[in-house]
Amino acid sequence: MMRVQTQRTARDVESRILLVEDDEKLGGQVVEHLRQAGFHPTWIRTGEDALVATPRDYALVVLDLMLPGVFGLDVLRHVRTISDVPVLVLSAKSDAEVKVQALQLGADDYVTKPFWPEELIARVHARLRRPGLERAEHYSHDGLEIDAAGRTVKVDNAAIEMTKVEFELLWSLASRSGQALSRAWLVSNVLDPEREGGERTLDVHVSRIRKKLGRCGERVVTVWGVGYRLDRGDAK
Amino acid sequence: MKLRTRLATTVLVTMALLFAGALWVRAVMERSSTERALIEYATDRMQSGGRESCEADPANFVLGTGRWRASSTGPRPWESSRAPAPERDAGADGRTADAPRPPHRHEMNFDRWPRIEVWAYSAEFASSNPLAPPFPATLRQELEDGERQATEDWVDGDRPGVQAALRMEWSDGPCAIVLARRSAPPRATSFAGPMLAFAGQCLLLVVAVVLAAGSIVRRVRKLEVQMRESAAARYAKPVDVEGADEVSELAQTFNAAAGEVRDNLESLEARERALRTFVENTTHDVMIPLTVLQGHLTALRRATEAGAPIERGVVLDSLQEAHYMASLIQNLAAAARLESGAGELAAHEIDLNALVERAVGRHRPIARARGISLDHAVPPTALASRGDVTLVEQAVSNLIHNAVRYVQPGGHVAVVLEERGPRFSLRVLDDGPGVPEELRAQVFERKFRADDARSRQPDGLGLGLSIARDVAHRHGFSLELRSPAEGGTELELSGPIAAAA
Repeated sequence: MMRVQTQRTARDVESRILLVEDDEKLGGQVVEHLRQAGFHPTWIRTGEDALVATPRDYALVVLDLMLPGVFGLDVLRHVRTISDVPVLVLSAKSDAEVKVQALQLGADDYVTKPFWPEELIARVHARLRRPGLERAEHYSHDGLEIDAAGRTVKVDNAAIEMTKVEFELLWSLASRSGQALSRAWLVSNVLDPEREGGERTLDVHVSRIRKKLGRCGERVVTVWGVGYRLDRGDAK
Repeated sequence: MKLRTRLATTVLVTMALLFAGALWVRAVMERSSTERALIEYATDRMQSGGRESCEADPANFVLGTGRWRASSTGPRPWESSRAPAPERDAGADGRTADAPRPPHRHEMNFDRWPRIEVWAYSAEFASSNPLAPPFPATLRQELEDGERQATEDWVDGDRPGVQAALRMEWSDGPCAIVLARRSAPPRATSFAGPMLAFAGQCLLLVVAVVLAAGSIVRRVRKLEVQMRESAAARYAKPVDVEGADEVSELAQTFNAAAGEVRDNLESLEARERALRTFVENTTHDVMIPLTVLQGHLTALRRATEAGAPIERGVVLDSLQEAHYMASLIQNLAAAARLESGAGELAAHEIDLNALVERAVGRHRPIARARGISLDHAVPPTALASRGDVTLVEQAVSNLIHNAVRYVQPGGHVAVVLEERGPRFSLRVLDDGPGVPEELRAQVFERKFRADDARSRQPDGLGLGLSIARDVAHRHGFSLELRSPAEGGTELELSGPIAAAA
C-alpha cells in the first residue's frame, strides 16, 4: 500500500522508519509508539522480506536480531552492503558476542529487551540527531543566537558582549545543547586552570553569563550532581 | 587381522622371499662359475697344444669331452651328413684323441655327463671345419665391439648350457677365435631337503614370534579392560602404566586424554549446575514481582470496571515491578555467567559514552515516573575501555537502578563519566538517604541467596551491587562507595582507558 506513494519528499524520508520484528505484539507496540512519536513506521515481519526491502527509503532501521528464517545478523550484513542508513538493533541476548558482532557489522546502537517504549524512542531520536551534532557552528533557538565563527551572541537580535572565557563556556554548552557537561570537564577544558581557578570560578562565570543573557539566562541549567546544560528554548 | 596372525603371516612371507632370493643367488653363482670353468678349460686346451693341432689341420679341428655320438637329443651337425667326425678325428690321428674323453668306457651313460666342445674360427668368424656351427651372432657382436670374451645361454636339445666366445692372444690364423660350449643334463634337484629345513625354520620363527607377541597381546587386552573401566567411571580412574615401551606410552596418552575429558566434563557440569541454579533462582525470584504485578493489574481492572479513577500509585508500582523483574532477570543471567567460572570474559572495546547513555536510558522512564531527576554527562569525545560490554553495562545499570530505587520522589540521580588521566571515572551520585556507616562494609557482599536480598527490603541493596562489584573485580576495575558530606551516596567505577582504536 505504502509503495503506491511514488513522490516522496526529503521530509517523508526523515520520518520513515523500517521496523524488522517477527513478534506480533512487540512489533505492534513498537509501531504504535513510533507513530505517537511522530514517525512513519513500516513493519516487516520476516528476514526474507527484510532482504528485499530498500533501506535507503528510510531514515532509520530498527532490527530485531531474533528473526525466523534469515538470522538478524544476515539482514544487518545485507543492509550494510547496500546502504549506510542508521541501524538500531533489538536484542534479548545477554551474550556480549552478539552485540559486539552486531556493532562490528555496522549496527549503530542496540537496545536490550525488555525495554521501555520511551527508551526506544529516545534512542531513535538520539540516533537521528547525531550526525548534525558535531558540525554545528551555529546555535539559534527562540531568540538566542550564538555564532561560533563570528564569536557573537545575540538575544532577540541585540548583541551581547562577552569575555573570551564566557563565550567559550557558553559555546561549549551551546554546541551540545540539551546535553549536560560535567563541572570537571568544563573547568579543565574551558577555563584556564592556572588563571581562572576551580569550580567556584566556573559558577561565577555561569552566573555572569545568565545575567548577560537576560530573559534567555534561565536556559543555562544547573544539573544536579553533574554540571551545566544549555537548553533550547523551543524544546519542552 | 589379529596381532598374532599378522605377525605369523609376516614372518612366513618374509621367509619365503628370503628362500627364493637364496635360490636365485645360488643359480647366478653356479652359472658364473660354470662360465669361468669353461673359459679356463678352452684357454688352457688351446694353449697346451690345441693351437698347434688346429693350425695344422683346421678343417678337422674340434676339441671336446663327453660323447657326442651318445647324444639322444638330436643329431649333431656332423652326424647328419657324415660319419661322426670326432671318431674319425680320433681314428685319423692321435692328436685329438683326447676329445671323446673316455671312449673306451662304453658302459657309461654319457647323457648323464656334461658335454664340452671347442671349435676354432678365423678372425673373421669363419671356421675351416665344415662341421663347425655358425658363429652365434650375439657373441660375434660382442667380440666385434672389443670384448675379449663373451658368454651366453645355450640350449643343446633338452640340455641347458652355456657357450663362450674367446679371442685368443694370437689374433691371426684359422684359430684366432674359439667357441666353447658346455651342456649338461637337466639337474633333477631335490627341493625336499631344503624345503623341510625351511619349513622347520619357519615354524620355529612363528612359534617364537607368537610367544613374544603373547605378552604384548596380554598387556594390550589388560589396557583395553582398564580403559573401559575408566570410561565407565567417567575417566576418574587412570589406567596402570607398566614398563617403558609403546604400550606404556599408549597408557600414558590415554591417561592424559582421560584427564582432559574429565576436566571438560567437570566444567560442563559446573555450567550445567550454574544454569540449573539460574533457572531455579529466576523462577523463584521472578514469581514474587510477577505476583505483585498481577495483583496490581487486577486492582486496575476492578477500578476500570467499577468506573473508579485509576490510582496513579498502582500504575507506578506496576511499572516498577516490571522494571524490577527485567533487571532481576538480567542480573541473574549475569550472576550465572560470573558463577559458572568461565574464566575468560570477552574483552572487546567498550564505548563508555554509549554505554552510559544506554544504561541511563534504561532507567529514565522509571525515574521520570517516580518523579526523580536522572541526568548524565559524558565527555564530548568518547571514552573507551576494554571488557565484556554486557556485564559492564549491567554493572553500571545496577548502580543507577540502585540509586533510582532508593531516592525519594523529587530527588536527584546523576551519572558522570569523566577522564582522569589514564583512567575513566564513572560516578553515580544521588541525594537519597545514603548508606548507614555500619552497613557500608557489607553493601557489596554477595547476599542474593539471603532472604533480605530477595525480599527487597528498602535497606537491602542485594544482588545488583554484588554483581557490580564482581564485574568490576573481574575486569580489574575499582568500585568504591562514598558518603559525601552533603549526604546521599556516591558510587565510583574506575578503570583503565583503552587506547583509541
